[in-house]
Amino acid sequence: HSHHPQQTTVKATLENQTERRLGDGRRCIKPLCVIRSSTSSITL
Amino acid sequence: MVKVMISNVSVHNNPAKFLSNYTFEIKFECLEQLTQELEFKLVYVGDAKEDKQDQVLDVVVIDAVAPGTYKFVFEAPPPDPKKLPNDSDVDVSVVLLLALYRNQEFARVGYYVFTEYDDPELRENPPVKVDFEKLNRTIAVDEPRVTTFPIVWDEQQSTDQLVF
Repeated sequence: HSHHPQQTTVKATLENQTERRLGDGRRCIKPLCVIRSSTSSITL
Repeated sequence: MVKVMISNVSVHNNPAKFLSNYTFEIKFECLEQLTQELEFKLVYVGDAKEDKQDQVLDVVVIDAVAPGTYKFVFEAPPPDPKKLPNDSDVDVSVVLLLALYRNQEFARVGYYVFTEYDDPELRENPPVKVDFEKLNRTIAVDEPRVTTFPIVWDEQQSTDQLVF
């Protein structure tokens, strides 16, 4: 039985791009932010 | 209001061997803070006549992001030849890049994929049984078919307010 730990960096496919494996087995990619929008506010 | 728009898709390895991975670089704009993850799927259409032959090549998730412009590389394996129809006409097929938010598809980018043998002799006299090892594929990157769909972006948004 294999167990995938959550939030473990498993692979880098692009410079500075990282992936982690979610608990349900799906791949989660952290994208590169090219432009951060400064005019929009975050609504909580 | 629409929260995410795909602004560009480029293919890193094209043309390529039929059995090599697909590598798409996807750029998207997020216009409002997301509360849920994005999901991207790459689907190979094995038979245009019935979607039972579709193969989901891979699925990736992007965590909820703040407003801004982002890019990432989506690498996915090729279709499994064993799952293709026996009488498959592999000359022309389609790959679909689907973008989803809260399990709703809001954008789809489709490309024709043209396939031919790398060996001129095999092109002239193709074997009865397709030899996938010797096939090359070319994605028609200059002619993407882009479709957007109205979805419910917010929990508060009622279903009669679908937004493109």
